[in-house]
Amino acid sequence: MIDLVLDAFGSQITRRALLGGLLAATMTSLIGTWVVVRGLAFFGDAMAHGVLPGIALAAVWGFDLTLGAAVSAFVMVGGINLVNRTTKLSDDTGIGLLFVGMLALGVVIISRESAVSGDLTGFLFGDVLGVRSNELWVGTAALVLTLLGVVVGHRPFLALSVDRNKAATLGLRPGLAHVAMLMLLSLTVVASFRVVGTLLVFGLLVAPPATAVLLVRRVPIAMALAVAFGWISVVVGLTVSYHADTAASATVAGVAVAQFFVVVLVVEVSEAIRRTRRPVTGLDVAAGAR
Amino acid sequence: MNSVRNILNRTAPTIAIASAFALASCGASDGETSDISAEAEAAAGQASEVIDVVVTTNILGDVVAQALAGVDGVEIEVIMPLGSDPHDFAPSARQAEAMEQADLLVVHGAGFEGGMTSIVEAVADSGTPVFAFTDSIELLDTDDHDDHDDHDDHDDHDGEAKDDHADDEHGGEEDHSDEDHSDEDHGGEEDHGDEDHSDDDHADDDHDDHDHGDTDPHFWTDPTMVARSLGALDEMLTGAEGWPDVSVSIDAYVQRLTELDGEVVEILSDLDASDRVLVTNHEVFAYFAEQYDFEVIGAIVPSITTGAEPSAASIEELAELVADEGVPAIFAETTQSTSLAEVLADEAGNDVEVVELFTESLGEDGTGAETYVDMVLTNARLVNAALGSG
Repeated sequence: MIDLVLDAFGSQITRRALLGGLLAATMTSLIGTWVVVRGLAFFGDAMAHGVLPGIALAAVWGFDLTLGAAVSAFVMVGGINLVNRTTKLSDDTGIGLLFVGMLALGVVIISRESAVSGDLTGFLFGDVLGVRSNELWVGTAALVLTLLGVVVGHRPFLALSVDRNKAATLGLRPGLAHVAMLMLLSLTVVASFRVVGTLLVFGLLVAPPATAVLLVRRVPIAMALAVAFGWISVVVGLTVSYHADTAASATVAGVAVAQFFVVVLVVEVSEAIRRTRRPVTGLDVAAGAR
Repeated sequence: MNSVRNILNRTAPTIAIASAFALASCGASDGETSDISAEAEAAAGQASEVIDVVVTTNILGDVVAQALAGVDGVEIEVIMPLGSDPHDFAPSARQAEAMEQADLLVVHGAGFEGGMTSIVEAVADSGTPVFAFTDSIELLDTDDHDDHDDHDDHDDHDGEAKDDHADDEHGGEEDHSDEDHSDEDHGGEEDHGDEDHSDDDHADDDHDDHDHGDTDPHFWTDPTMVARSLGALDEMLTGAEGWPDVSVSIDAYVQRLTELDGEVVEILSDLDASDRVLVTNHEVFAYFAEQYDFEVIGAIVPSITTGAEPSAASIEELAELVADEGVPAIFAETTQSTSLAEVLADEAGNDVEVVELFTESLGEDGTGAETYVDMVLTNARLVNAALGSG
């Protein structure tokens, strides 16, 4: 089995894909844990499409595409926050509005400017196999920023997730923490989807943290475990893609999700076994019913 | 539940590892996979004798296979299967490795392989010689599509057009290859040499690629363009390390393509100048139109990629145009849904026919488009049948 894995990474291109994948998995698993804990998966998904108009305009006006994506992401965060603060509508309505609006704007721009489409497809459908050395450095820089953000923001983020009002009384500025978290998430998404492609970023943003949260409760431990699950997905996914000749990014993302369901199954089965082995007490029945 | 979590907190790493092994062995237990790796090892063993050529699209795969048919020891691997849309195809890790380890990677270029652009760039980074068809020929600007009204005088052209093209083609071949070779960094000889150098070269390529953003990549609808670019391939491979003589083989196929050009002219010869009007799905037939004196009056998706979407107004305008000009047929594509073309045909009325042409992929067995030459002939016959009846 080790040989099968080693076979898959016998060339520079698959080794770079491995590095890029591990980097992206680390980044997305860290921030993704907050995404899962706070129910921001839809925001993360919306972000991929929300950056489209910024990238398109960057391509038309000839400045850096990543910059365009970042500007677009910030506009989106601002818009969602605006809907949030000025109306009584729920968070996901604001996200949905911005998601559709930005996506539509992006398609309109692309369809008017046929000149940019070649560049865009390359940017939007980046692929884990297309990781280049200079992108690894960009990814590393983004990872350092993410790590910094996650560490510095840990207390406010935690307070925000537990109880918004309490966070406010503790002086932890939940509104600011929320925006900061969305910004951090946007940065991670924008930085990593250029490296490994949109599909994989979302696979890795949600699946490994969700898997980790099945098993542990404390956020820092969940982050560490999520990173481990992310790495496993990358290694296993690329190995499967190599031997079964399947599309690489999609396979890694698919393995990450499959892993989640395997863990769900293991948790369920082990719980069932434990229940049958021990004498049933009133406490267990209550716990089981929950 | 809390107690369960506590236990799991302690056992989590074990479970994680166990699940990883379970997943990994899913992949490993497949008998087929070990065969593939055995083959790969065998192939690696004889790497010195076999010249591995990997081609991205299946159309160019056939072109390259035919052009190098007479060269000993060449093995061609085509990445994209039949019927796939080259703009959003995603390869596997093994295919990426094959691309990187190839003795020659042949790509379309100009951002045509949308989903693979970054992979092709990554492969070029690692020093694999890359031949991009679109780097060897002068591509039409996408803006040209809209300027086709200028071509109203193309009746004048008609008489001498054929001789002109023949001249152009041969003259062009030499001129272009000289020029292109000097500023093209893919030159096989250099790439085989020092690796550091090739990195710098390829960095320049990126800029080229971006500049190509506003050009039309669908050059193969004109066989003389393919012939011309094969001249550049010949030039790149002649004298390249590890390659036997390729010129005889390539010349034979270029000869075949020149004949093909004549056959297409022959097939289309019954069409009057007024019949020579094309409405297509996305903008794919500019080169065909240029070579065979057609006018592309409109495309449903006003873009060189299939990713863009048409506006309501543009569909309506196009429908009016189709009705006004009495265009008898709209040309759809085998790799794309025909729904938009059918809407347009309905809108235009007058029994406008929707005809599917082979544009971005060869056809399955029995479609009459199994090879590049057959595909061009089949398309020409379909165009003739659809427009000639009106």
